[in-house]
Amino acid sequence: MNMTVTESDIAGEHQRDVRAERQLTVWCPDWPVVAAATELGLSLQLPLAVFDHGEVFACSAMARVEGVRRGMRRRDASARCPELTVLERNEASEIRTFENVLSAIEEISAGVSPVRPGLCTLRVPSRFYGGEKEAAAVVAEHLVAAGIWDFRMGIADGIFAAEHAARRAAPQDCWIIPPSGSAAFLAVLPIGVVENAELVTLLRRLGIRSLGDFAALAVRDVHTRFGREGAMLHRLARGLDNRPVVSRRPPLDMDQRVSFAPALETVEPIVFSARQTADRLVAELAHHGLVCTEVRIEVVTEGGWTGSRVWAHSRWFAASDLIDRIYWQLQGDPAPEPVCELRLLPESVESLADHGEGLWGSALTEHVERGIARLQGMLGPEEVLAPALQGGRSPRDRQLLNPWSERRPIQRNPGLPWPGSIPPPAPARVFSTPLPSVVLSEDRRPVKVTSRGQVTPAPAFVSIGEDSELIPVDAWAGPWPIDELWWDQAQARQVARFQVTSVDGSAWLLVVENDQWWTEARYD
Amino acid sequence: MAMVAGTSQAGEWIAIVGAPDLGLEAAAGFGIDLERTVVVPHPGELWLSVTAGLLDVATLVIVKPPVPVSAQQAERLKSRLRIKDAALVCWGEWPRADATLTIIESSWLGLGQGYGRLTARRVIVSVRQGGPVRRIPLWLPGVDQQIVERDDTVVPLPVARVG
Repeated sequence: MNMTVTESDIAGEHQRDVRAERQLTVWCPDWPVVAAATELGLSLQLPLAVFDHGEVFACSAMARVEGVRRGMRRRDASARCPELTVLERNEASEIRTFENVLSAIEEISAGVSPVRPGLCTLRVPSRFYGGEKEAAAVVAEHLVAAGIWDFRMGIADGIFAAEHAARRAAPQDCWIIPPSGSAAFLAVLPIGVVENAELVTLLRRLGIRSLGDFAALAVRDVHTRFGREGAMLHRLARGLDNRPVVSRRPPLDMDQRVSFAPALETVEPIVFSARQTADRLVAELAHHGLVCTEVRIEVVTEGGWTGSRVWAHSRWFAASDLIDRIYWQLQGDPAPEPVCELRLLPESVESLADHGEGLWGSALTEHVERGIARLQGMLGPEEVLAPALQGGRSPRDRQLLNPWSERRPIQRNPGLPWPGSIPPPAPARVFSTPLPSVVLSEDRRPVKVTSRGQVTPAPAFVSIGEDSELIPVDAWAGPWPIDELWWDQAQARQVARFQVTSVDGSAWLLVVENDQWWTEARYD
Repeated sequence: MAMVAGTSQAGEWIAIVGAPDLGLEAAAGFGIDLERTVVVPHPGELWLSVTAGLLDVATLVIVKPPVPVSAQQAERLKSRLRIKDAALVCWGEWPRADATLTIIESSWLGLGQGYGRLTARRVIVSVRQGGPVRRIPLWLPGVDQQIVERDDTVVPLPVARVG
């Protein structure tokens, strides 16, 4: 804690206190619930609760009537309200859905600043609309038109007061606090509204119950006792909220689409007509100094069928690359009906500065990219693959082949131990479909593995592949038993792997499942 | 694969054509950098043009032709190799190759009757390159997953040029 406060510090703060800007705050109550319900298509009239780390984070009005409260455990909440629909918190979707609110406000006023999902603020556009009340009415009208029903607005000096004014307002209404009236309005609020749980408990124990009591303390005392954080909250309590409001830049809309009327059936004319759109997308991005490294191509048909796929580029998409991708997608994933619309949606956009060509020649990989694009044109995009390793137990699970230009994440982490996997060296040949095999004992009886992992009788002959001859076994090791996904009836597998060498020097990896032997790989 | 690893570690691109059952983990184990590897598992009838196309991209192409290679096809690829300064390793028969490596004897160590695991392999590779056939005994791989000549001196394999 910083205990030394200079006079100039405090004097400087006083100077900056002069004027807090008039702020219009829009508050959408229970936003996590609204966002989750919108995503899942649930009605807000149902009792819903969003949980975060096993505790109620937000709940709908219906659930609140039943007695569900924030911070409750799942069991308690369900006990109060048995028909409660439990939703998991999804911050990404909260931010995504709040975008609708922001863009609705941005239609009438620039400089909207999101505080958190469910709360945003803007400078009151009072002069243009002839007064604060009128401005709020216009905002309300636009929000309702955008399909947002439950919101409240507050106008005050500074965000803090405006937010609490909004909490007072009736739905779709605005609570206005006159200029320099913030201190008086805040004074009656309980101290609990300060968002610093530690400070709140301490102040309560000191006998300070309302923001007014807190505001009445001397600036210097607060500063020396509670540090900068405390001093900042003290300023808020006094209605001196001049935190700078950083307004956001509306996101650029880079999506391009081309419609066909009448709808087109064959691939060539679609690709030909898309050429201009692709050019336009690349030009539009370049105008903003951007390039696209990942693009989603959506194909929409007359009947409403939509084919969608994400394409990645190791450098960035030029118009001709986009045309190639459209062509491949239409060939690989043909539309069942005539196509009426094609959309190009840039998924990840990066600054051109990071991707520009060097002064002396360009990146080494460029000619590789070009050569591979040519091959993909010849064979189809699914035939040219990029290899990678991943986690898994069988040699086949441990490798991953992805189409070159498509980015698919590794499903299993290769860093984990994967008990039951065969130790190195790895087999040099891994059969894409295991070969059916036969393993026999000395007296030509089939070798079996009991559920306890016992091998009876010992293997002496093996035949790899269908109808191939029996080879005498030189040595063998195993079983490496694996009881995978035993909790899932449909996917459960109980297998055991063996390494076998034959007298001719070849080594094999065999697997037995339900008394049927397969050869998975060959060591050579 | 062991032959290719040296090239890959030197930062060159590798391409593998027509070998859908090649073990990628083993490839990585031998030192091939999968980040700089292109795989075309099923080129079908186009294997010759795919290989030629990949020679533009990669310095070393491993190819397993689905059909016997004619002398004429081999000659066409060879002229291309000369221009591109690349190498081709063929898994199978190749007419008039510069060098041919064959494993003539191989035995795995580490397995018993129901215990142990595969750890190392002793091989004898016969190399035919112009002159008389040489026989080189090797650990492929050794117990420490390295490839070692069997009199226990570490000799990195020279990159063979076939084609």
